[in-house]
Amino acid sequence: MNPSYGTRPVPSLDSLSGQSTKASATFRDPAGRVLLLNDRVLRLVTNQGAQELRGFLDSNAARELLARGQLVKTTFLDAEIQDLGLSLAEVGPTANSSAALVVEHEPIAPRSFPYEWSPRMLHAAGSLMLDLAETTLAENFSLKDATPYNVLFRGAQPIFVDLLSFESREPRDPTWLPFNQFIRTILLPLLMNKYFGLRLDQLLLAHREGIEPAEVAQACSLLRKFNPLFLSLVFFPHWLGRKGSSHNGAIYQPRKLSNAEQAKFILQRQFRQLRRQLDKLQPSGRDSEWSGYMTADRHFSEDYLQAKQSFVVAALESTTARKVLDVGCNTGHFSRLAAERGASVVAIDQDPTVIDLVWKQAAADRLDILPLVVNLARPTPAVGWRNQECPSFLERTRGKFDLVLMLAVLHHLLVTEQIPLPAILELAAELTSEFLIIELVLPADAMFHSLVRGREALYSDVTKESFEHFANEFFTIAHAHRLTDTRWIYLLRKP
Amino acid sequence: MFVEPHSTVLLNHAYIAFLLYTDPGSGILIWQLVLAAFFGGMFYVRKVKDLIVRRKDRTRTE
Repeated sequence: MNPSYGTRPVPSLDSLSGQSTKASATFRDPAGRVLLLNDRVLRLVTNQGAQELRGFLDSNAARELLARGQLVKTTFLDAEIQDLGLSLAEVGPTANSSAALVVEHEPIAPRSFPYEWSPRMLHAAGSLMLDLAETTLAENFSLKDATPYNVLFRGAQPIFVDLLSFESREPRDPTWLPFNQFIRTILLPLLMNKYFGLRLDQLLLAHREGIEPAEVAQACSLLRKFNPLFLSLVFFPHWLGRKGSSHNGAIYQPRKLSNAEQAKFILQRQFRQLRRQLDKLQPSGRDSEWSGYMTADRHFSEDYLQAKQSFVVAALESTTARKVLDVGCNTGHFSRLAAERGASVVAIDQDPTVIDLVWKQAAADRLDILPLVVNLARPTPAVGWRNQECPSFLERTRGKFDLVLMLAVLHHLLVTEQIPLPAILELAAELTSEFLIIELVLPADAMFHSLVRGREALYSDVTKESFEHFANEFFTIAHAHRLTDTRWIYLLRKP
Repeated sequence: MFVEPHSTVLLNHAYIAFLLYTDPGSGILIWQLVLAAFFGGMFYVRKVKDLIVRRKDRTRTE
């Protein structure tokens, strides 16, 4: 499959007045810059970057990777950056030619970032990058960087999107440039998660460039020093870093061997070793407080579940929702129902363990479900330079769904997070463009009672009548159904 | 094993990109060079082993 060379019209900035046309996803790449224009993803590529990009996309390796769905689909637009009304300076700091290129990528929405992924998702992103490195080696291409920010998920499938990361390599060069970055941003965070239980969302939100071996070494006991995985990822690099502190930059000098076959052999062995280390860091199926919610630990009857499921299925079929957000998805049961009916689903939960399970099942069954570790009460913020590089979860998702599910989550937001009911409904109205399916759990319910812990008086005004009153401020009630004495489920529609 | 980085080997684009992109910490980089040297040695060991195996096969067929 060759990259397509098309003449799709290039949007001019003048025609997009009022839009955020300069919302570029990257400025760190000297070879080019991404612009998000409405729902289109354009990449402005400098002349030098364009040469490498064309060369790579014309290769058999790129065709193979595109056929596997591991690379983002790309079209060359018959236009130059001046057609967009941009100057070279706006393209990038090293732009030095008037012949820069515009390419368009297949949009993958919503974007997600590594600090929203579960451990298995980060593992899958790492495995993808090794696949790319191994596949492109035969044709003397290599990755310049291995940051997980180069990967997005389409449903449960990881896709590499930064095509400018590929460049032709010197055949006699035995060095994989992103080796260091791969260890810091993929392997060490997975190691900290697996062996020390540290949450990836907390680690990666605070450490964009990953973790240094020295930081991990501090957390390790003496016994860990004899673990081969820790020796190679943590202690040897840490020790060598201290020993080599006076190298005066000599270690950064480029190296070439006399034998290209030897260089290739070295790289293949390095990839094999990294792959073995990644395999050892495969997340284990740890249980969490919520991972058994839908099975043995549940506090509700089969009749309740059946009634709830029937209501949701009927609503999904009558609304023909195509884009669904499942808030507090837990094990993804209802996300699955939506995906099986043709919807693209984003499933969020604050528990990384359940998100891991949802991703594992969605990936295995090829369902269009993107699970993310997000707590709606504290959604991921905008981060990066000037808080603009990585938009917040709400900015990326506001109004992007035609149906939002909030099943057995309202009472958690009310009680645990202490968010007022009108505010919850207001946010739900922002997230959905049309429908909301929400489950009302009343204070007399056993689960509500267990959360309240003696503070019942604070929630005495949470009644069916007050809920419907506030719901009518933002929605009309299309359907309501009594699930139990203490639980109701509603299909709400925006006016 | 490595070609000495004399003036004949200039900093090429790959290494400029390397410094721009990866912010190499020295510890992991030195470990990478150690591993590369080890694997480079294994390359010759494998060549010798292949040679011995080929000679044995030839002797057997004769």
